[in-house]
Amino acid sequence: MKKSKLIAGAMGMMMLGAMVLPVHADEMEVKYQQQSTWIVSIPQTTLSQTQEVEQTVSATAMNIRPDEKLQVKIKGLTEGKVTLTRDDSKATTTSTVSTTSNSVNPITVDTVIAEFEDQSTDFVNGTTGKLYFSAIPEETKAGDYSGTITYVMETVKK
Amino acid sequence: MNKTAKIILAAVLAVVLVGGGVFVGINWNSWFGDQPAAETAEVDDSAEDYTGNRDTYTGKKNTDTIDIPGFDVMNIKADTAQQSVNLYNPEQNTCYFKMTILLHDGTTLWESKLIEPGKAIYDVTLNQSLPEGEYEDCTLKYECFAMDEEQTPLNGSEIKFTLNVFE
Repeated sequence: MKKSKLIAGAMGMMMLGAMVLPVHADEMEVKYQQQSTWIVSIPQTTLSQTQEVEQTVSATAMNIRPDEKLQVKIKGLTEGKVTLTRDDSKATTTSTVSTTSNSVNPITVDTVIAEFEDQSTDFVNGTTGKLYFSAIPEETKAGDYSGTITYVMETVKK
Repeated sequence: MNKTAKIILAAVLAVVLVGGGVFVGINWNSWFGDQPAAETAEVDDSAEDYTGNRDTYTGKKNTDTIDIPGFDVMNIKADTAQQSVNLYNPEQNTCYFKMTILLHDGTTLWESKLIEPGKAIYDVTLNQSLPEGEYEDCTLKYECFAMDEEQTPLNGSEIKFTLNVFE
C-alpha cells in the first residue's frame, strides 16, 4: 500500500511538472534580401526638328538598397551627338544631346542624366532627367529622320 | 475493486494526466503568454496563380514613352541551362521588347523573340550553363520596336546587373 502510494505520488509530481513547465523554442534568426528594382520611363523615339527639342527620363517605380543609388546614362552618342537616319536610309544628320538648353553641356558616356535613391521617384543629386536635342543643321536634306539612343541603368554605391 | 482494475485505472489516469500536461505545456505561451493567439483569416478564393511581379496598370498606355523594368541582381542555378526568370514587357507599353542577357565579355546567354506588352518570360533555356559564382557587370539589353509592319526600331535600354549562380 505504501509502495503504491509512493508510485502514485511520484506520478502526480511528474504530471504537475509537465503542466507548469513552459515550452521553450530555440531562437532562430531569419534573414531575407530584397533586390533593388525599378521602372524607368524613357522617350520612345528621337526625332529631328528644326528647333531644339526637350525630352525627359523619369521613374514610375523605385526600390533601391539604402547604400546604393540608381544612375541613368546614355550610350550610342558620338562626341555628344546622336545620328539620325532618313526613312529611306539614304541620308543622315546629327543632333547634339545635352543636359541643358542650347547644347551648353553635351552629354558624354559618364554623364548621369537621372539619379534616384531609396523608394522615391524624385530626382536626386542635381539631376533632372531632361535631355535637350539641338535643331538639326540647316543643310540637312529633306525628309523624315529618326535615330535611337540606349539608356543605360545601373545601381552604384553611394 | 480488485488489484487489476486498480492498475488499469491508474494507467488510464496516468495517460490522461500526461496528455493533458503536454497539451497545456504546448499552449501555455499562447494562453498565458505576452502575445495574444494569432487570429486566422479567410482564404481569398479570388486569388489567382502567381504570375510574377506586376505593375499597377492604370489603364493608360504609353504613347511616347517606354517603361523599362530593371533590377540589380539575378539569381540562377549552376550547371544547368534551364532557368526560372521574371522578365516582362509592362502592359502600358506600346512597343515590342526583344531582350538579351549578356555576360561581361559580351557572350550572349539568352535572347528572346519579340515580347508583346503585358507578356512575360518565366522559363528560359540559356545558351550555356554556368558554374557557381558571382558574375558582375552582366547586361539585360532591351531592344524596342514599334508595333507596326516595319517594326521600326525605337530607343532601347541596358540594365547592368550581377548574376549570382548558386548550386
